[in-house]
Amino acid sequence: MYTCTYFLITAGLSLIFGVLGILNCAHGSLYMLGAYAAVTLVRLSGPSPILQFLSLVVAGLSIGLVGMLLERLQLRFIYQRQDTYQLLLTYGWVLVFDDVVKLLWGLYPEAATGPYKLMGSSSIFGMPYPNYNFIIMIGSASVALLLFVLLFKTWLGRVIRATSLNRELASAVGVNVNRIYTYTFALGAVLAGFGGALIIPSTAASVGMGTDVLVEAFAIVAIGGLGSLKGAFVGSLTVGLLRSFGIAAFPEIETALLYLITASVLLIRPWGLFGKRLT
Amino acid sequence: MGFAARIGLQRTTLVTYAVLVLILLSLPLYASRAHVFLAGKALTMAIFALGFNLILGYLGMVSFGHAAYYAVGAYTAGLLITRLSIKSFEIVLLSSVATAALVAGVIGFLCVRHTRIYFALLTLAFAQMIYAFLLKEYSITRGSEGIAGISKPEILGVALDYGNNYYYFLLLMFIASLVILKIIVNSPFGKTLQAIRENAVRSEFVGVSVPRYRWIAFVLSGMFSGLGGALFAPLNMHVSPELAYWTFSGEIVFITILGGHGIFEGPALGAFAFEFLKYFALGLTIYWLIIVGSVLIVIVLLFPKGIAGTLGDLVGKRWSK
Repeated sequence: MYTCTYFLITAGLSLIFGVLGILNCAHGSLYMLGAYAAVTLVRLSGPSPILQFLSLVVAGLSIGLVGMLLERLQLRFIYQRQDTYQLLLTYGWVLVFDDVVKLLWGLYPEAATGPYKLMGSSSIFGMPYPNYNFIIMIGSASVALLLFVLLFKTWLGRVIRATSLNRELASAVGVNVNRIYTYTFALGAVLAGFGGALIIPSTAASVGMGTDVLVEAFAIVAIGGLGSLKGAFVGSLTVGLLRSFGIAAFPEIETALLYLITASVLLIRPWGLFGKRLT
Repeated sequence: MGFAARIGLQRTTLVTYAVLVLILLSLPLYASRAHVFLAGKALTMAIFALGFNLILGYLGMVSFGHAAYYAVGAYTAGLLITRLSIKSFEIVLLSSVATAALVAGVIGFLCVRHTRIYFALLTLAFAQMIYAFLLKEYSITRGSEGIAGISKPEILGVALDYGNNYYYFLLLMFIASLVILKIIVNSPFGKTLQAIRENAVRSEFVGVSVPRYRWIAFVLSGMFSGLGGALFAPLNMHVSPELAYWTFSGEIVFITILGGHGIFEGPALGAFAFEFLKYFALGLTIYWLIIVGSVLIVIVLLFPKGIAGTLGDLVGKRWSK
């Protein structure tokens, strides 16, 4: 459950870092925007279940548009500067988006539980289990599959991977690097937005959700290795399991333990479990 | 001018300093209580930002978890005053700074071996650990409620809760911190930090122990952050775990860049600009974060040298004409 949404978010975060070399602080905010967009679209779509599920997908895709604009209009101009500025610019977005959400949707958590209720629940080992959780799993698994097909089977994916390996060389053989940067950032944003949209039927969207998920996402990519999708998956799995069982078994130190693991991985293998060593 | 010149102060700078100090000293005469409180908060943030800039500006490393040391200072002070009813601020400040130094010492020791984004992520992870501790250890830290009712102690037997005494004390501590940090950055130690920032490998070659210098700078920076926090606790009378949350760590990076991290006094200027910007934005609309965030975006995109750096450039142009 946690693992699925974590993976969608961190895959995008890792992809952006791998290609653009930028740690996107606003990634959690894009996730939050995806969730709120889903709330509105599900409400607009009326009682039809097909439209409701479709609106979740549209919500995710619309965040890609937001990402594209952010990259084109702002991020583009500071690639040459120090890391500090890139970190700060995206931090500025965090502040702005938090209030944009308050302005458009108000201060209170917003829910749109239509699709969730629609699915009902089944019992597993005598415990009630909401069927919607299967949708989250299937939904994120298919997005993950699409992502792998896109990155490893298509021309665009090859070019994205080439750019992440060597920007100058890619540019020398005729790749329009600027355009690839825009696509990559938009793709990352779609993943975050879709992650947010998917959880909406089961959880309410709230203002703090973006900043909370961001630190966890940072922890996951740090554990798995910045820029590595395999790392994002293993990291998400680790943290997802820690979340699920930790809250039941040792709630007091669950949060601290997450960061303890992160710090230990960073200290011993700063490039993460699956990342590439920077020279 | 022996001393001033030795720590790198010129006559014009000294005059500017004097004027600014006079403005701050006379502030309670004409400003409202709210503005004086705000200026006091800005003074604690200025100490924090100046200490933080030792790492960002002089060492060229981004710590994304510096709020932790401010929080450690604030909580230590808060706990000593409320739980142990310690009246003497000398003891409270010394123990708060010592605790911050201890925490920064351990964390810094582990972090300084790594650079760039890994350093930022490591400091963030440790800060989140401290945040989790403040949030979850209810018996000590009162969880999300934080510690309330922190009274203003006395210093050398003088009560600080009377009139504007606390504000003047903050101003005094700010000036002291400014002078001490100025001495530090202009000392051979400070110059070595800048050499490491420019080229760590070459510094290593001429015999500088890079990790050790970075570690000492980290601890010093943590001590000033802790001092800022310890001074903030009685001012605000309440401390909460958000002081260690990552968004507050982002805020101090913002303040430092806003003021200008390339100039020694820049971060202090940034602290005042930020607190008053926040105050006026809050007066205009409840959606003040949009204004503050937009200012940050404009600064990063168009004025990367911050207020102090941009002003400096303007003045420099005029002089060269």
